[in-house]
Amino acid sequence: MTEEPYRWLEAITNRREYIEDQLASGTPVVALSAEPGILLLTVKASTPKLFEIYDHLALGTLGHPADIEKVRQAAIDAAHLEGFTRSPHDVTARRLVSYNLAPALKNAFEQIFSAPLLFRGILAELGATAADDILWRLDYDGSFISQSGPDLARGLVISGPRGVAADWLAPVPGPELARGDLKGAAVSALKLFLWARLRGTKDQGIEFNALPADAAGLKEKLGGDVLEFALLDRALLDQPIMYRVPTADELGL
Amino acid sequence: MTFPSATNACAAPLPTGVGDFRELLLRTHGPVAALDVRAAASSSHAASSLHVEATTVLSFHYKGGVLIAGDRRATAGNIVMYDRADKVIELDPTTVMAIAGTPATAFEMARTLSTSFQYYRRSQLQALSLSAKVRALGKLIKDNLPMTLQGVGVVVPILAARDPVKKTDPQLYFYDALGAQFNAVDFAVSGSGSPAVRSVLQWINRWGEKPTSALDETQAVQLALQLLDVAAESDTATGGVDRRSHIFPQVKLMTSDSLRSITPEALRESFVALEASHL
Repeated sequence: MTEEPYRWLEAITNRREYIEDQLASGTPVVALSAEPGILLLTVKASTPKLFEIYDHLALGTLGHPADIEKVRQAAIDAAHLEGFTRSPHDVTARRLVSYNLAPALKNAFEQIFSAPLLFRGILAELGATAADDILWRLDYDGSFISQSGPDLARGLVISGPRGVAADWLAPVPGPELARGDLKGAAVSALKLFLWARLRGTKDQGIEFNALPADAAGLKEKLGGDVLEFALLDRALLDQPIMYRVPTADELGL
Repeated sequence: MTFPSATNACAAPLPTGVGDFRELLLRTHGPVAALDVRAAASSSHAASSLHVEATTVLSFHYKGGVLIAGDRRATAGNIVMYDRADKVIELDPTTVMAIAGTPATAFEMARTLSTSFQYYRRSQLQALSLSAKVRALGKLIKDNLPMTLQGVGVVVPILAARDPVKKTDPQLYFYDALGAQFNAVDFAVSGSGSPAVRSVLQWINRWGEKPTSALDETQAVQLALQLLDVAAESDTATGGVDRRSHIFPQVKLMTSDSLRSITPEALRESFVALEASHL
């Protein structure tokens, strides 16, 4: 069937539709670069969705757990091989995304006779200062965008419905997010998470500023869900492990 | 389906799923990179001029945990190659390896183990157990057997480690050149200066006022400095304490919940105090 270009296009379109349909119910994941480090936040599911990849790299994911596992493992393999054969300083999210994960994801997406990878993720790289952080959004078809410099003030979100991430970045300037301290960043990240979740489900017209501004109000909106969060801690920059799970008290959540 | 693509030279191989970094390294970079020289070693003549080794590393249990220390000198025959070698290496926050032997092989072993432990923890989402870490070093030494037999790559390390999850007392392990591991209940030493240190430690634990296990932290650090000084007196390949050049040994203390290094300033103070009390 793929010998005819039209059939191939049709197959790819169907594949994309199928994947988007499968991902649609995915829970959002938020990454926010702040002064104390990069905070990743989502709600807990049966399997973890936030992972340590390398000394200064973390991955936030949504999709099928088995597919997430494949991408996560590939990222860990590539990062550790590079860190061992060259040095940990040579392991960068840019090279990992551009030369490893994105080509592999695109290749998997275009193999139309095999099962597709149900994956969407954020790869976060901790820098020496908040201005040096870089966030990458990576999709099942190998497409990616990066966020660095002044754009980091916007935070990055992935969500089941693909349009939510773009909707968040569309208004310029966007809503202000607190990034000075961990507690402020945690409130901003949770607010962004709730906005993305409502936007993708029952309240597509939700305004970011219509949500509560304090942790208590936001937690009420969260219902019974338990948060999963991780921090690439800038205070640990001189240590080999910068990824840690902060306590709820530290985040004020 | 292959993920990532096998046609992409930069892409990582298929996920292993077992968390074995050496296996991954062997598959992607071959036996030499993975420190598996069983197939790579073929020549049988010893290159004695490349034989950079000799040292004193020591460790013992003290009241608060274990102390592990080493001098800083690296030699080739009777030449002092380097006076600031770091032979006591933190592999991860709960594991320290002190190396004696050929630096090229020993440093590579330390790097391999350090990466392997992190790789396992990150890929398997749990820390590697203490026994697996102890065995991993033994396996590296065993795989290095051809180099050991040729006399160019012998490594005889000491390992100080505690359970990465539970708050248990730290343990000391020493190895023979073939990779057998032994748990040391009182002390473990290695390197060309170690016979002198071993004798002193045996005397202290058998006839001394109190055994090393009863020493507090200050006394333990002082003893480590004294032992390295004694080793340097009888072994030219051991640097000891070089106050004139401000080169002090490495001394690390591991307790059931911490690992820290004693600073050169603190070591200097400690050594000056010792000297003053023995005028």
